[in-house]
Amino acid sequence: MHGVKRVKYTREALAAKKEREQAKLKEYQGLTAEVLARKQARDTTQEAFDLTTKLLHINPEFYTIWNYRRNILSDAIFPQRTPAQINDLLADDLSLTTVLLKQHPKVYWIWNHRYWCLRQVPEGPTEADPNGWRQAYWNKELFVVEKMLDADPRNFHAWNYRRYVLEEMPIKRSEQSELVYTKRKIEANFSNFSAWHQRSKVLSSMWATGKLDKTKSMEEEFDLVKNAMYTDPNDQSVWIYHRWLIGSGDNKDILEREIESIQELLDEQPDSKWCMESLVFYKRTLVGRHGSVLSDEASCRLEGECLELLSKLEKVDPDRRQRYIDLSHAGPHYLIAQDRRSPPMWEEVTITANIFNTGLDTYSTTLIPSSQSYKTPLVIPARNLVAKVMLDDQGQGAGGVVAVIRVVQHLHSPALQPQLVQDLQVLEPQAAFLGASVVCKTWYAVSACQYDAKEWWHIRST
Amino acid sequence: MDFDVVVLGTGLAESIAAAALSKAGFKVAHVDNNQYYGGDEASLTLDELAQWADARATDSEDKPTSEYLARQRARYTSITRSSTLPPQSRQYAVSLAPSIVPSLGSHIDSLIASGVSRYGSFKLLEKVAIYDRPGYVQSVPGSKEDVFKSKALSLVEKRRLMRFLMFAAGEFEGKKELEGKEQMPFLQYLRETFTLNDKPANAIAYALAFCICANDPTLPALQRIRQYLRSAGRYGASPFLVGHYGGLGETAQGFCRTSAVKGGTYILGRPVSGVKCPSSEANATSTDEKTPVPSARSVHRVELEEFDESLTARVVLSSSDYLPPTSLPGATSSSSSSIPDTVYQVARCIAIIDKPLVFTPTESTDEAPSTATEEPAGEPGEEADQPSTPSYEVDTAVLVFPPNTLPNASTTTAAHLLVTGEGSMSAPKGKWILNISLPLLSSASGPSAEELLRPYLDAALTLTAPPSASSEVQPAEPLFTLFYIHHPASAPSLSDPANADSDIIITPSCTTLLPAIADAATQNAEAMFWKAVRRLKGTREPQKAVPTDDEKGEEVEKDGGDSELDGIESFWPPLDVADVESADDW
Repeated sequence: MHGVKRVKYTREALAAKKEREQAKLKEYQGLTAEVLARKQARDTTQEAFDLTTKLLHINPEFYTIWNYRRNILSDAIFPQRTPAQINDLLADDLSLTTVLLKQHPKVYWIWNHRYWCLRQVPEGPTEADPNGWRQAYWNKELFVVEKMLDADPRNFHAWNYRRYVLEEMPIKRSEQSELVYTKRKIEANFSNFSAWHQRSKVLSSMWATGKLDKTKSMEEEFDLVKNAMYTDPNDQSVWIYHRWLIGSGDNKDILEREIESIQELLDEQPDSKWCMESLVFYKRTLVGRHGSVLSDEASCRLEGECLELLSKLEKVDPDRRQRYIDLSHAGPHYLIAQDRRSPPMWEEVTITANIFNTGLDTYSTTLIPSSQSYKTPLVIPARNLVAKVMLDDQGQGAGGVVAVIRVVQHLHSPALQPQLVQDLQVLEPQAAFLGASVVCKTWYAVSACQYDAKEWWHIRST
Repeated sequence: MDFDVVVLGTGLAESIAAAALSKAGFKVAHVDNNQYYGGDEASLTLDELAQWADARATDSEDKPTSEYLARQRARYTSITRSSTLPPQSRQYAVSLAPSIVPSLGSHIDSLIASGVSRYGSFKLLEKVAIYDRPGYVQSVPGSKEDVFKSKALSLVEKRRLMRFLMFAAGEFEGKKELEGKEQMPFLQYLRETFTLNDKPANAIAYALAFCICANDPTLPALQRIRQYLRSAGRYGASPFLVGHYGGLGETAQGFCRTSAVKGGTYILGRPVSGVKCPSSEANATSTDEKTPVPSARSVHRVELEEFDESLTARVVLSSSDYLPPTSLPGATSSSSSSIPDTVYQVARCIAIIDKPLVFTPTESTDEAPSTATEEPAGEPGEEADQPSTPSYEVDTAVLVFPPNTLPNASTTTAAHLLVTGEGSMSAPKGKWILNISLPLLSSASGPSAEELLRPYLDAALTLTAPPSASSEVQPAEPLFTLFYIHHPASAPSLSDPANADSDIIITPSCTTLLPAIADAATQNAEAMFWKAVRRLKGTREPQKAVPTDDEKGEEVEKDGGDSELDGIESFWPPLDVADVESADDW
């Protein structure tokens, strides 16, 4: 730990320390054995109860002992006490958990016990005021949990507990105040999944009940989260919140606007992994959700950009390389020739194939040269498909794979699929003509998409 | 009376060196011409400040009562002050060297290692802001949270600023962004390498790096920013501490106290009438022209007025104001007795006000309140929504005026204003001290200090009538003002070969940069300490210990020269147990 003075021990001091530890260990083991034996014997005496207190102070993670303690309370002690006495006992147990939580803020069993205690609070103090005790606890609980969150604003146990407390309070607090609270926590440090999550929960609820104008407040949220994205694009919590805001991407205008904004951020920060990953996700969402109103050219260009981004991601985030390769294969559509190599030294070669009998209107093709600028996607009449493949000018790739040609077709009727296969096979000899051979060829259909067929040709240069 | 060292002047550097020498077991006599501790860094009550100013004002009729005072008069010029003092004048602690202390740095290290920290207490600086226009300031985005919350920065500016801050907080030496640009003017560097716009670039240069002008070189500015960024969070969100009771003067006194506890002898309020060394005994008084002959074993004789017995010591540590320039070790070569080009003349203003400065961020005016169809219910303990115009009444804060901020004011240098109030125990309740410093690039005599600084003072005072107040509120009228120009002390560099062999060690000139003074004085003190130790032990200057392959596995911390220093291993010896315990309380 920082700032703690390192203490140098002499040999004698070390031996003494070890001895003390041994003694402590022995005491703990003895205590454990005794408490477990009493549990076995269903001992529910006050004495047994006190021993659990002692043991839990030493090891609050021993959940068996918490269970045993609760058994003693509910089976033996509570039935013999008045509500007021029970209330006092619960107050004691709550302070026990407070003390332990201060030392161990992330131990489930302590939190569990706290939930349990609050559920046991009897009605009172009077028949006229049955919620009096409870309300007193709840007010205090909110204070406790805020203290816990001040100490560690990212303690998800505390956030969970906060939600529980807010939900259970006999007199509810306004959701608006929770919105303010989460904003304060986010402003103090926005790298906080829990605070964003809490905010999303509150907003959902307020939108659902109409307490907040969704369109307007959504814009404010986009503004907030964009500020965080630009401040620290490496912070994942922010991107996850942004993704929650976008949701299923039904609003095309918002989706396009956000894509543009992230693109601007990427221009500023060209190595930002989260920018690139989100762009792939949102661009594919755009095509997936709104493909019917996009031109073929536009859809084609978007997917081309996604593939380019994914190949950059392989480089900036090599730990997840395979994931990005899988993602680039999982793209929905279109004919793509993609450079998977660097350095980019390409010359243009044209493969021409005549395709007959497809009954289809168009093939779409696009080229992704490795240079920064994209060439205009070509939309070519179906009977005269031109696939441009970029090949390494040296004609040999160290890794073998020099080009991937992906052919995808708008296939409105599944019955046309076999024909398309035939048609595209025409390309194969052309690749061979270039001194390349097709080493791998896969057909598959992506069921949920309207573009149903695609083909991969990994061409290995020879 | 025989001593190992006589230290002349109780400025911060001399006081730290005296404490270290006492702790190392040397017999130290520490002398000051003044009745108070701290020399040029003293913290004075208003009465004392007025006396201080009057004694140095050149139009005063009296002849200077000491050589020290004569030299001080040359170094503090253009003095004007209010003729009357406000009531409770003894409840003020005004610093002659306003400073803020970074939470990480050599000064804090020395405070802790020497145990002096328990003699002083500190307050975190609340805020650093940039003066914008009458009534308004610009916030300084110095952390991720500031950048995130800022309404003044565009999204792209936020990204660029954060990229710069991450860079500046890291190990930038040798990185390609810096290569070959170490000496580039910092503002140009920010614009070109990090494509920052004027506003954020100005904020970084003048309010994060505390640059003095646009031409300040890049590397030192980056190093300062890194120190301050890393300082944030050690004692609180702010990187800076402000010493209670006037800051450095109080700290200097704490080091003197430590020296006294370890046996140091203190003599205050005694003018030094002469410093003699044996080889020139016959003709030497401090007023005579003389060239001290460096003699390794000479014993110096320091004579004090109205003090029969002179103080003798092998080594004399001195502020340059106590010795005639010609007696300085480097006097023979004119180039060596100089001021580093990073140390400037400073026009200063000290003003007392009775209304707080209110920092109203200029960007907050167009912040719209959050929209909610449901009004927050007024439950007890309810989170109040933030007010639409957040403004802060500041007690202890810094206000920065980059060049060209004000008409009729400097177009080349930045002024820094430190306000201290009751919170830093430097003023009575409801009163604040404004301490304005404006470095002057040219030493030619120009306008008076008052002419130079009046625009800054007036601008600062507009913040006492904030936009949130009713229109009847008028800006505060200062209860007291003092203006003067502070000329840096001229002293040879310690590493100058001309004084390598001297037993008279002169405190080097020190920067006047608000957050750099304390660390610079501490580093000067440490250099003086080691030089004095070597002279006292009669050893040569040590070479840097470079471990060679042969020495692998052996102790290579000290070379042969240092091993003769009889166990003096560090600037500060380990604290006694008693020291440690009380240090923990702090």
